[in-house]
Amino acid sequence: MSNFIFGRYLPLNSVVHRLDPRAKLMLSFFYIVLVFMANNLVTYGILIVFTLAAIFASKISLGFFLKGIRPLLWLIVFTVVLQLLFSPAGGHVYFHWAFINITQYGVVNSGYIFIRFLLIIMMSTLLTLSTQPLDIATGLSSLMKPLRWVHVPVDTLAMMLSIALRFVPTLMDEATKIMNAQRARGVDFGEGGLFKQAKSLIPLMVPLFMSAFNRAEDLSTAMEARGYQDSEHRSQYRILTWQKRDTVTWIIFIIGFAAILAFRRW
Amino acid sequence: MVNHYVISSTFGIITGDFYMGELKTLMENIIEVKHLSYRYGKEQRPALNDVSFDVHRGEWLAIVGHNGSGKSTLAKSLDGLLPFTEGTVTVDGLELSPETVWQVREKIGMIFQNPDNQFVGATVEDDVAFGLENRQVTREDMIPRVKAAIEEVGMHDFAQREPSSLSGGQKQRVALAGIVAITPSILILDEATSMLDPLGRHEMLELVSKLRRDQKLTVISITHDIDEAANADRILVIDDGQLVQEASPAEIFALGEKLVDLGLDLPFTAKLKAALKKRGIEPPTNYQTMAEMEEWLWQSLSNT
Amino acid sequence: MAISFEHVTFTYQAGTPMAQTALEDVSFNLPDHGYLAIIGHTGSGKSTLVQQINALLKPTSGTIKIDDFTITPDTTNADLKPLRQHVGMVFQFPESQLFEETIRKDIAFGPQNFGMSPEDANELADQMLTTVGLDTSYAERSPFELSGGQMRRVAIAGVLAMRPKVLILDEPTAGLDPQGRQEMMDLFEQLHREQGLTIVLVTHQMEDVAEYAEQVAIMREGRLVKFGDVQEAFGDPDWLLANQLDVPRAAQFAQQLAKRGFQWQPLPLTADQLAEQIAEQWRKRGTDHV
Repeated sequence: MSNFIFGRYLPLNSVVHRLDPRAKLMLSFFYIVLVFMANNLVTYGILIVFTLAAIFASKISLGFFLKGIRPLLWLIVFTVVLQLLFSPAGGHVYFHWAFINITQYGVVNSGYIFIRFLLIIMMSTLLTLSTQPLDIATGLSSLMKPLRWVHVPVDTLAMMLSIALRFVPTLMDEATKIMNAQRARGVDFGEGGLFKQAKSLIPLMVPLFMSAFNRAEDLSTAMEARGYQDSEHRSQYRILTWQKRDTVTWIIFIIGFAAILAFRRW
Repeated sequence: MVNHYVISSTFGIITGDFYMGELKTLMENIIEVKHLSYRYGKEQRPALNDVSFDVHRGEWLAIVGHNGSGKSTLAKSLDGLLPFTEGTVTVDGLELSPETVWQVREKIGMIFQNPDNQFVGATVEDDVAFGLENRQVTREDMIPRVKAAIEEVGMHDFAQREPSSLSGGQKQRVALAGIVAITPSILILDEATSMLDPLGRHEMLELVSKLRRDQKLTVISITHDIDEAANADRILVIDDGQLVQEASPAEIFALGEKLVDLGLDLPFTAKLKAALKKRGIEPPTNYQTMAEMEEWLWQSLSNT
Repeated sequence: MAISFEHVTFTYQAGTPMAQTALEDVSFNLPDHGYLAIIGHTGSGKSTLVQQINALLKPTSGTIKIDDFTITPDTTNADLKPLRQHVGMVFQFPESQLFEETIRKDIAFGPQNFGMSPEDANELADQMLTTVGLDTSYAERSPFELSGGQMRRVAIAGVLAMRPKVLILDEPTAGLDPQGRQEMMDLFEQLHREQGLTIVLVTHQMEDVAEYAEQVAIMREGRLVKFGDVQEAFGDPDWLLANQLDVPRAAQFAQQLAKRGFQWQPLPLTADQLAEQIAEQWRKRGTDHV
């Protein structure tokens, strides 16, 4: 579990850390669009330089990003191999057997897919490593605000998200404790066949759910006692302020966007 | 002479009125509970059975009893957190009803047993702000109030911390800060110290005593802890959903070994008296503090 | 079972930037059938220490011996399973480990994991219910219908059903009312006395330590700062106060009287010990005026 870097926050003081979470969220989305627009060596080159520059600016060592890729490695290899073996005919055929074709087109395409995966994982890892979960939640709810007009309960969703995030460490501790208690009663977690493993999860999941329900009940009582009626009629303590650096980052992104439009193969 | 008579009688009336007024503020009831009953779902036995009592403004009232005796149910009823079926609760002149429940909650701050399950905010300052946000306090007003409340409970070095990095005692202090920020007149502690270690418990009680002085709070504490009960002006004993006793700590503690049946711990002096009795020594039957008992032992042993 | 720790060090997430040393060079010997109380502040390493005894955590360096079992950093999990059967562990708020549909099934869960037949385990479950002071008529009920105190008894019965020789108790009375606490401590005392169970108790209740424990280990910042019998550990209240630990009430009281010239031999730690010595002085000095 401790090797799983995706979704972790690394507290450092860098420009990237200080960016408005709304800017970071929107730009991450924008970045994914850019990754899918790139389709030749020059445009991918621009994106790679861009990504490395962002990582450098965040002061986070590259090692963390490579660690972030590791758990997803099999998924990447699987997709790339699939693309390599089953891509439609096109260009020079290197190998042919039954329904398997390895073509020039396939090799180039799987290479691009590999780079796309890598870039997207790196940028989303950068987002989570440089932004506190709470700020992501605040940013998301702030961005969702227009949805109020179509009667989406944005504030309630934001409150739920923030409470869920707040309880993640508490429930993780609880899970560790329950696992230890059951191991002490002779349960072997993660050993034996699939059926045995699935069965060993029951003594963990049942108490964990019971505990989560009890906590939820206590929490709702406490919230009510503290005057919580609904999420709409509340003021906000935590607000986000758009800074000059956010605008500057947007401008850099738009220049990058223009460059990719200019150099991409149409 | 006539003049003198008039003056003195007027004076008499004035002093009489003044006296009555003084007595009224001293004994004014901030909470009045009358014939309160409550039953959980389809349970046979009521959790509360015809409970009536008053809470005086400014006093520290302890409510003791076994686990499952109905203490917590009672505390929740006072804040309108359980819809009791019979009886009335009046808080600061307002009778509790679905219409007044939010006004009543303005007057009451409550702290519960499990420090983890009442921490709503993602950080200390967000949590302290929670109650203010619910009351739609503007952000400009909120910032200084949150800061002051955190200072008041001595947590200013932790304002940005997340709850998972705090101890149980620190979390309960944050809960107190959340209450300081909304300035209620009543504080209810529902076994708020029972999950803390001795150091955390001690710090929490000191803090509550300080806040009570500074903010003129009325304190109701539901507890098993003998030190917490000793702090009180008055103790109510609940058993099986009924109010069975109401007395001062000294009177309650004089019950000696019967205290365990009431859900309280024995004060040390009661334990010592029992142990002395077993050895043929008859100590005085009234409740004694440790200092008083020490004095008595010293007198008895050196007066030869 | 005798327990010995030799230079045990434990680091959480060893070898990462998040590494945190929780135990440092801990060594002690606890004799068979002992009753050890481990005291110290929150975060002093008490819970980490007891989790080494049934190898839920393995030492980063050093050796732990529990009778014939030896735990080193290289011991594999397969070697440890028999040990876990002998070392029963009652965690803080153990009622949160209950999960079965009936109380009987939950108590029988542990013994079955260690290879007991379901019939034998069920029979044992009913026996254990009685041991922890609950009626066997409870056996078919759901554990989630019980009160908190009863749930805790069921959880403890589930640990006792594995017939451990060592019982580790991590703040077993937290959250109970005084009567429940008393009954629980009496149960452990009975198991210790009648069945010779070695007991390791983690607690903040100094009165319980003075009353029940034979040996005391005092932890501070991951180090074992004191180990000895109760009199050795509590005989010096000034040292305890200097380490911000509570002093048993009886010892506090005795110390106040000592300031007035009372002589104690040794310093009483419980109300009974105190009354005993007072009674002695009473007979010697107070006969003529009483």
